[in-house]
Amino acid sequence: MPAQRRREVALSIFSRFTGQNAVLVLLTLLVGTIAVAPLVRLAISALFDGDGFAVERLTKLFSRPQTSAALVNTLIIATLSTIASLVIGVVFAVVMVFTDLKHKSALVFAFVLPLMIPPQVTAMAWIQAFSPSSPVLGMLGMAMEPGSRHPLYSMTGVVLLLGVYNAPLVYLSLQASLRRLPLNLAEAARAAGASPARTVFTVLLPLARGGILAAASLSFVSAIGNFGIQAMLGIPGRVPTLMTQIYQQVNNIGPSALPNMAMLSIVLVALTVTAVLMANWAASRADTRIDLGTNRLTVALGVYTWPVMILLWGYMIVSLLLPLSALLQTSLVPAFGLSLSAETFTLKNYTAALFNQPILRDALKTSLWLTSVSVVILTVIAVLLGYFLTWRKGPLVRVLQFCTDAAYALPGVSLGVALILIFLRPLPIFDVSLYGTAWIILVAYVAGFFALALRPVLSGYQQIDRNLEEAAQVAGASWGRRMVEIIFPLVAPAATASAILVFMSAINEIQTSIMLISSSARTLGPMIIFLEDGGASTLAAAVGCLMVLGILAIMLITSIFSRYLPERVLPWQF
Amino acid sequence: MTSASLLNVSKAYGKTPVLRDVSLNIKAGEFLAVLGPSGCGKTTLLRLLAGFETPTEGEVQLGDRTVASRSVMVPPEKRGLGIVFQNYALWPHMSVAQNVGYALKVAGLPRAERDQRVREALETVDLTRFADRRPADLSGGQRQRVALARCLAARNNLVLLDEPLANLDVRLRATMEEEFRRFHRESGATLVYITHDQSEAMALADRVAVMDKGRILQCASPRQLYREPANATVATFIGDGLLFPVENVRPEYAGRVRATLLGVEVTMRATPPQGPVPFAIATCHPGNLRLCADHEQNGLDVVITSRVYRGGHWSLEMRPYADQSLTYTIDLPDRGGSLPEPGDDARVAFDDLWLLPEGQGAPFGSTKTNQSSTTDQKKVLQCV
Repeated sequence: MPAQRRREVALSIFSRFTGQNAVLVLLTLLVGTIAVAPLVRLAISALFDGDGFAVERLTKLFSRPQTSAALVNTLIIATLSTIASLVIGVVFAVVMVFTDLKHKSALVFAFVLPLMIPPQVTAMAWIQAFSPSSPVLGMLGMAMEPGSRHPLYSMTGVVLLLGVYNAPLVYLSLQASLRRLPLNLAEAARAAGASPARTVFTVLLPLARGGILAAASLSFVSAIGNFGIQAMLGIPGRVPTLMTQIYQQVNNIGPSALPNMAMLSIVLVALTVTAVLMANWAASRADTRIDLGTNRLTVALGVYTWPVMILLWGYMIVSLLLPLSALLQTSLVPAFGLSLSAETFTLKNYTAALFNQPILRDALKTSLWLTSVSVVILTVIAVLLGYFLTWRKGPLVRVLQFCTDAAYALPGVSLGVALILIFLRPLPIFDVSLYGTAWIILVAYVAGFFALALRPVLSGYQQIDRNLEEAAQVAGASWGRRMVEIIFPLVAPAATASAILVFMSAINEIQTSIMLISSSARTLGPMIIFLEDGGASTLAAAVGCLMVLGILAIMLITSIFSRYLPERVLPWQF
Repeated sequence: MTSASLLNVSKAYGKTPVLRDVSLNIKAGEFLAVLGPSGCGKTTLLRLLAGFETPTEGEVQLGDRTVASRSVMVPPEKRGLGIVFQNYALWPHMSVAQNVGYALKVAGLPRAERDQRVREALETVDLTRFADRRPADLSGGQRQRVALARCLAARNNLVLLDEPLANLDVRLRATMEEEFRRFHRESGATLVYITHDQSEAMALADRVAVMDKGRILQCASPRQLYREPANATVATFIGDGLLFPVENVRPEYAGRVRATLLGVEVTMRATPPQGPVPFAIATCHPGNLRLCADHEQNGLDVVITSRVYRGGHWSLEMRPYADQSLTYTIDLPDRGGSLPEPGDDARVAFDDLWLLPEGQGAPFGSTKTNQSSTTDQKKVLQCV
């Protein structure tokens, strides 16, 4: 090779690693570490002991009755609650998408709200609403025998609550695919003589079966990974699941339980991956004809308007208003069990929660800065990542795509175990230990909410015409300049939406936090469980109410400014 | 003004070839149209010139500078050309003036000069009043003019236009065609105009490169394309040309030959050094055929298979007796006289035939497949 040609080739290779390619490489390293390192660490701890493959330990682990009970319970709970979520979610989606019902925005807002409330708060609200000494049931004259066992501390309770909790997920996933169904298919069915209802059931729903299966898988994965409800109801109800078992063992036994719990974490990951793969497979077989921007089939409900209204609003009352009002009542009385009246009314729980409890104040402070920093980091990562995933091709992008998919598959508790394993010992080069500090929680948030942050940004990119970037490119703008002056302003609305979602989830995050918090680094999410465990139910209720209030405030404010945000990126927008 | 050329450029995505050994010289200051059906590779050709794609083989040159080859790849931001995109690609978060001045800002021009050039460009396209508006507040035609002003302000020597009229309604197109002519005149830039609409290409361009299946079939002036197509595909695509098998081609004098067309003796135009060949293909447009008067002996005997009135003229579909597998449609002006009905016999004469320079020598026997493949192509070309 002549010298000049060699220099040219070297130069062109060098120029490939400047600018956007350098960013791509760094990003791949970062995302790869975030997504893959925890899985690898789990696998190593789970499968190997000091002296090789841990056959004996694993055999013992899997022959333990607790292990099989946890596995079976997890499967039963996830399956049954998915069925419940599907029934509720499909009915709601069909009514919202295909009928002329009024006040849809309000219904969607109320239906999706529970999904935004941290599961531990939801669980607490239900516990208080349906406890034998329930303030609300008492007022309705439906109170149970004092001293009888709480009906929700059971497998049925866990299934019921998870079913209700994940129903909005089914709706959100399904409505998107229902909206994309081509109208002319419905019109052809109508022209062939099918009634509107028949058209929905024989043409549109069968066409949406890919979407339904995707929704089912989403709800299954989410049920497996919902620590708040499994812990608040399952632990007192003696219904051990994989998650609660991992949490209890790590908490009670300590680091020596980690290898076995790493194994159970891997089982959780495997369940999640299976569900996701099945959904992908179903989606790939589904009819993918889409027809954007046309009118949809609208069924006039006619005489059924009122029954449907009553059914839906009745559901809202039972699933949302009843538990939340019980929570509110408990937060306004001095001791759990007292009924609310003019004499018992007190705000001391709120003043305690807000001003008198240094632990809570610390937790709030820690949560706020952890969340803010995570939001900034994740937004930047999501915007860069979205760019590469949407518009670039090549082996690195494929690696990036794989890592992104892998990040979806890691339940929070598994991530927690992995991070403990990674950070238990001091970092090799810097010789500092992150374990027990807030930094490990920051790592957990970045890793855990990475998938959540990415989704709105990806859909934002899909709405941007690539020509806009290319036009800037022919105008002479370098990649960095295009990112700042063209791309970022264009994805800003989607990035805002993703920042809001991450903020709402991280500020109340429980499952990784509860594995990682220490006396020197507490976060807000697990406080509910600690307070409730410590018998401070009324204080816990006040904290829960404040959380709900905060969530509600964010939702309402973003709804007011929704016209500046991309359509349907925030789940509670209709 | 910049010349641009592609030298033996091939482009494949994986194993799918999109451009096959394309060579094209675009002269400085020329208005060149690239015409072809969707999927013919014309957009890839534009993206290769712009630098969004790298050629698998061959070289791209702008002026005397090689911008893409095996060892060189100049990225789009360093090529200094302008593009008018089909959807205009105006940045929605910038005002019209900011859109027009962006390239100048990137180039680091002083503020005063920048404003001056933006003002001039907006004046040229008559959009001064809209300088502070957002692109979303403009109509389609106005957006198109902003896109043109962007190239004017940047003083691009080479401007690529990617189906710029495809998103506009029919009435606006005529106005915008005039706008492009003016842009060409006033900027003096070299223009490469991608389109699938032949009337657009013919009306605007100095030369038209006709593309199909990743190749350039012919690159010539609009008139030459229409009157002297190089091959059967171009002939059928441009102005719905008809193809006739001819035998026994004998040169008569320079540019004129005699031949036997389905048994009829005819003379026709041909490229000057045309030698004798046993078989060839002749072409003419549907309007170049007429019905013979009763006394005329020398014509092609046909049976009429259908007759459709198309406003101003009739379309007659017919099959020659000499070869019933062939079908031709001719246009007859509506002069109020009587016309043959479907099923009638008739005799037609040719006004102006042209001997295709390509595809000579092979007997028309292979034309069955040949014919059907060209009609297929024609269908493809028409339904775009």
